[in-house]
Amino acid sequence: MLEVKNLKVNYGQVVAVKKVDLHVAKGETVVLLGANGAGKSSTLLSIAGVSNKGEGEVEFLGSNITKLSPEKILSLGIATVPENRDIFPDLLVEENIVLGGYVNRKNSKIIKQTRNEVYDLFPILFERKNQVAGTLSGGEQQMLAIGRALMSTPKMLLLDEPSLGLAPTIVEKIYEHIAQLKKNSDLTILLVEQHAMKALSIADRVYFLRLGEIVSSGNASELKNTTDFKKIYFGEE
Amino acid sequence: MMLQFIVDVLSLGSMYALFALGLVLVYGILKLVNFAYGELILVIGYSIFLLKGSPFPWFFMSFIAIIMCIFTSIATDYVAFRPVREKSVTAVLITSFAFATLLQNAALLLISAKPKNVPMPSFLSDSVQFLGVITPVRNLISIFVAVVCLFIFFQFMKRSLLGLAMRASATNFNMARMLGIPANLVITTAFALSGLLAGIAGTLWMSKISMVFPGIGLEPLLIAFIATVIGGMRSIQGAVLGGFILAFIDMSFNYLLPQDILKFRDAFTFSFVILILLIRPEGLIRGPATGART
Ligand SMILES: Nc1ncnc2c1ncn2[C@@H]1O[C@H](COP(=O)(O)OP(=O)(O)O)[C@@H](O)[C@H]1O
Ligand SMILES: [Mg+2]
Repeated sequence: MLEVKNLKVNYGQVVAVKKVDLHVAKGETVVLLGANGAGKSSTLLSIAGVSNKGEGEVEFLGSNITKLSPEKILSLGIATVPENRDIFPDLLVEENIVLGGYVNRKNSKIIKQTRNEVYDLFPILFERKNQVAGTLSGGEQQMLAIGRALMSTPKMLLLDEPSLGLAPTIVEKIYEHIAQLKKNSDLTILLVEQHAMKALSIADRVYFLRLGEIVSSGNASELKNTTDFKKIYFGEE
Repeated sequence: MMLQFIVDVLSLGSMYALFALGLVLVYGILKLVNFAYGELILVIGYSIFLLKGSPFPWFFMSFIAIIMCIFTSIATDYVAFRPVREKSVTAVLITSFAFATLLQNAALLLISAKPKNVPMPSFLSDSVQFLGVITPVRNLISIFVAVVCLFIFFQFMKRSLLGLAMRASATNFNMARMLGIPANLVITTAFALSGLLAGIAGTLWMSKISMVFPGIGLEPLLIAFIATVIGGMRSIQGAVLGGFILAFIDMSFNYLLPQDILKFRDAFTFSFVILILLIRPEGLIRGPATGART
């Protein structure tokens, strides 16, 4: 479904991603693991069309999306939940949700249906829908960011560190929601995490990113137990 | 006396607020100041001036002038912003100054360096008297027009999907785009609304001074800029507030300063603005959390 070839991302002189090759099949949940600064977010954002791609190609459903704008990429079916959630703090929860459905604006039936599904998945958002989004707790903001992304009825979801800055019990909850989401739909997910164990619990396959390069990959179930996973992940030689 | 002062501040502030709002709309999205913004007043003035001989009623002429203003504003985007937007802030600064100069020189060459008379319906200058206040009709119309425009504008920003998209884009343009909100639509809308507000404010301005000359754009640009700086560059409510505060400051000096010092009023106003900024460098209203240029 998604195919990233030889991706390189740089910010001026800073090379954030040296060389990334990865692919995600339809219905799969793939995790990109790596320490802080490894280039995970840059990889994700460049797939979403935000970060400049220095080199390389991104293909989605067989067509080349390398040079497309973020809005075009979303309309093809890739929705992004960025690292710091990036909800609109001055807007109401409901307004954030409504904006998430921007691409479906001409189809009020789909909007209504998706909105109900999102509120079913995250009942707390329904309770808070008339609240200013900036007043939500970290966990609720994460749910809002996910819910907002789902409003575009995406084929694929890019999730950047949903556990970041959240208390362990909240992380647990978020992952339950993601697992439930996976169960209820055939959504394809590319997940970025530092929190390896949590991510592995829902993943089909894993890539390890280190200093801007994919250093290893494999099946989640196999990798969970191997010891060299720790080596790669924590960068111990 | 007190009521007179309030009416004077409100009528001047109405104009200032609309001006400032137009400037901050584009700034909010692009984090770039449109230095050709003042030239929209030039467009308003000369458009009405050029239509002078036409058989149209005045209201129709000013309607066309406002349309011209909207087109010029959108053209500013295509000529000065779009080609260099990604490159650097300095580049846009230069191109928007260049576009402003181009319009000024066009007026200079094609029309005249001398001020030209802009026709205004005579009833605008009629005085009305109520509760001890004496004021020209145009001042009351300014207040009325501003209240109506601001009401419609804020309803649009609050209730329409496009308005919400504009507010979201002003907070975090990249995120808005990742939700499928088209960058070009948002930017063009910002320039169009900016042109509309400047056009309306410019017509009110014209009704006050009834003339136009090539350098007319500088003062409104400064006013809009100072008002937005006072109110906080990132907030649309701040721009409106800043407009009224600036009018309050200007008018207070008008009332308080003796005649022979009045010509230095702007110096007093600027000092006062600097004082405000020393106390609150972010302006009075902080606006959306993320203001980084993207
Ligand atoms: N906007 C930016 N400008 C400059 N350097 C950046 C920017 N974003 C990220 N980087 C740099 O790129 C590298 C990778 O960052 P990032 O993709 O955020 O990694 P991760 O998400 O794995 O923590 C880091 O060295 C970071 O400092
Ligand atoms: Mg990151």
